[in-house]
Amino acid sequence: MHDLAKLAIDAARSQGATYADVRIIHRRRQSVFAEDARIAHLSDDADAGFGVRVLANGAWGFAASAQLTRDEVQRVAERAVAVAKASAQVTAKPVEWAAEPAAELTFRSPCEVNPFSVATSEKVELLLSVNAALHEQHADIKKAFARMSLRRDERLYANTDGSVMESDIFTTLADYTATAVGNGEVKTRSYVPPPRTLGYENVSADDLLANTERVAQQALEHLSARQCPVGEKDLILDPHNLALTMHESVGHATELDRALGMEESLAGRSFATPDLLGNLQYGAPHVNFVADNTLPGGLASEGFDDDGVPSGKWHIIKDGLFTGYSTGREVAGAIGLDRSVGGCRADHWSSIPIVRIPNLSLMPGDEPLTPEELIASTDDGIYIEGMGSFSIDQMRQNFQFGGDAFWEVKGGKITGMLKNVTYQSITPAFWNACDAICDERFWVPNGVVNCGKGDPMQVQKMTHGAAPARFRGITVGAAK
Amino acid sequence: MASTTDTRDIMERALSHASADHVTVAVHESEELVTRIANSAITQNVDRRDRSITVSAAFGAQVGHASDNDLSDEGIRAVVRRAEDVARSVSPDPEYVPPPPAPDAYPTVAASSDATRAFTPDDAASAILGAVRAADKGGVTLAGRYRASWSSEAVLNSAGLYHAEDSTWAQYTNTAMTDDSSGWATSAARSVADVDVMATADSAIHKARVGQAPRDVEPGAYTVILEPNATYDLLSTFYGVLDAKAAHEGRTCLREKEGERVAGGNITIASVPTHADVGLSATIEAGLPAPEVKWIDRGELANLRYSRYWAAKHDHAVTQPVNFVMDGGEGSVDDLIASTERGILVTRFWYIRFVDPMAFLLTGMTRDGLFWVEDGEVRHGITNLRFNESPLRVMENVEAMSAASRVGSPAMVPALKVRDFRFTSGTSF
Repeated sequence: MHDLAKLAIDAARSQGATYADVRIIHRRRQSVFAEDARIAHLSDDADAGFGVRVLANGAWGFAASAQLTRDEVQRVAERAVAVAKASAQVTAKPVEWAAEPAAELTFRSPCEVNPFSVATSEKVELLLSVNAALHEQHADIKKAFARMSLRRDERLYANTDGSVMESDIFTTLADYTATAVGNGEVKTRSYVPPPRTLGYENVSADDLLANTERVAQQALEHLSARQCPVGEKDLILDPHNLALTMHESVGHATELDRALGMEESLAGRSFATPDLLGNLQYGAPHVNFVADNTLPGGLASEGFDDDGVPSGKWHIIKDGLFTGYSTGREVAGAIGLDRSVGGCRADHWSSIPIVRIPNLSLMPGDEPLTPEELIASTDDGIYIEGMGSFSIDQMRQNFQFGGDAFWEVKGGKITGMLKNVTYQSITPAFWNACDAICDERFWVPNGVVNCGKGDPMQVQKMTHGAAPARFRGITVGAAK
Repeated sequence: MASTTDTRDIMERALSHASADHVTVAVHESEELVTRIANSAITQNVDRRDRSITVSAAFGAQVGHASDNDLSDEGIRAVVRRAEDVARSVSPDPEYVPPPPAPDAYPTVAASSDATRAFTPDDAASAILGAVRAADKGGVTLAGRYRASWSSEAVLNSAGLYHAEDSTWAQYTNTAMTDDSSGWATSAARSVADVDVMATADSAIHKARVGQAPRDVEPGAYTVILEPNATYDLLSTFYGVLDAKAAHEGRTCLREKEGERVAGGNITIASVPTHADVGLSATIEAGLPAPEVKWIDRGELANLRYSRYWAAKHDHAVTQPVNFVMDGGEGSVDDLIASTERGILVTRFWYIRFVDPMAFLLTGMTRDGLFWVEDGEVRHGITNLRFNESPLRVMENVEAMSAASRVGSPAMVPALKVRDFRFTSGTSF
């Protein structure tokens, strides 16, 4: 494969490319989906191919193919240069990107048990056992869905700077949902352990089965829950709910390509423009967001990005102040940064690398604080667990989120379950309303594995760690 | 963009390597050109192609699937082996339905355009250059993209069914921006010859200019005029709640609604595989011929979506959508505007998500062209709004509609004038 990578680089250069990189990727996927007592889908998928990205005449070109032969590599490299020269007919100014020293490195995600060495029958039986345990709880549990996704991505990257990098990454997840039907309602409850870049050790049968009783009972309780009130409430959000809220309102908002208008045609822009860097009080003073693509098991921990920049760690928001972006080399160069933070990733060999949200976490509070203490100090609020409905505008300001389960908090105590809860706010107002974050004992590295961005659409994954946090006076109940 | 010719041979070889009782082999091949525009320049430009094989193998009712894009003989043997290996590891599926035999006929669908297949990055750049010049002249910044794609789908099974079809699709989209407004437009068709780049650019530029200095309006219930793309954004979500099994199990808003009235009597939505403009495929699940299906017929829920298993269980035809064709009225968006005393004109929606699936309650934002209409004319731009609304309520509240037209997706959709559309919060832009 190294020979093919070198051929791609040399061919692009000989056609006039001033820069070129190539990624050769082999992928494996196993997906198991259980519906009640049947396996509704079971597949074992693989694919391989390569993508060549070039700068020629100051503009970008990209071409990709699945045929890993010398003739096809030569053709695709030449095609990438031809595409770049077409791009150059409509450019504002030549691309000037941030420099990056050449490097050679190899990265492997932690993996104790290769998920593809585990018998498929074992995976099937686990999911069927989970569904059976959910149904056993009550006749009103009418539906149980359990799924498992196991992935391996082997990547060889090389560029004209002289960098040669390799990675081998496993990603594993298993989760489930119970659906209760009764009382004129249909309600669900899910259990979603964090997806991680780990081996099969991340799929814990004991943990999955141990939570079935709680999940089923909460789905049943949801059937008779009271309607969400309308007005302003203090919200206590668990780490899983926060993962999606921070993803949408902080992660995407601080992608520099969006802030520079590069994604306007599809995903949109951001209110967090470069003139606000170092000036915008994005959140309360104890709100800190750290990007860390070196986080062990992090979904975006890939060793290096697809610009050939080694993974790093940096602040996005420090003491509430907006201090950093996720960048690729192109957009870093566009605002005069010396170096990219290494946030440029493609989801597939046939996709062009774009700026992606890193492993982005809300850091835990400095003072000891438990979730129980947080609830006990809340007079009139709602406690929300899990991910639900989510929607945000193209500037990443006006958002409305739901959740998976909701409880009313009155006088420092949980008084009962609520249903149909949504909360709506404007991004900076919301994060400035954060008045308490639990300590690191309660920090959980949840994640997102279906982040869509780009055109053609790319789907990426990233970890979002958080501890439970409270937000004062947030509008709830507008959706009905 | 040229297709390869050995697809049938690849599928025959896969079948010959298989030992399962039932086998279905599908080969997908595609090439896609995507040229993106931002800040009035081409910023990304992609040409990619792939070809893959998917094998579904069943021993009795034990079913497994595998796919790969290694189409060498060794690769074909390997993907068959993986499908059979996973099939053997699973218990029989009570909902398994064996592959169907060859049908008598397929609908005739002319879905492939030579002009689209011949399209090049240079063609895209030339077209975009004209649009950028128009934007410069109009004093706006341009974003957007030109996408042209070709794909081939072929299926062969052990019961003797074989079908192969090609399709093409091209879409050009622009977002024009000033400091405080934006305007969006799109043009899409099977043939690039029917994609009107300059009309798209001019429309986006016009909207951005008219929308300058937008004013706030209070959230609340308003009469809205949904342009065809906004109608499609909202009502195409209807396909997401059509599953017959979920409805029969009481898990969707359409439970016990078959044959019942779910929309106003002026609403008819269908899937029409042979449609002259938006027919793209002659097949549905397992290579069966795509049927023409009315989902809503003059307000009545005429059909749900039935899989092969659920159809057999309920003695119903297999019904699955291949496109979205909604009956329209007469006239244009301008006619709807002219008939409106006070209302809001919506170019498109963004980030629509389910809030309460049982109530079919959705939320989302307006985007890239929201205008205040008064006394039959567009008066000024307004800042964007969030809605919380149900398509079922919308389809009850349609007062008038334009003639149906093509939108960005394979669909024919009218503009709608809808009363009491609920906006719940706003933005500053």
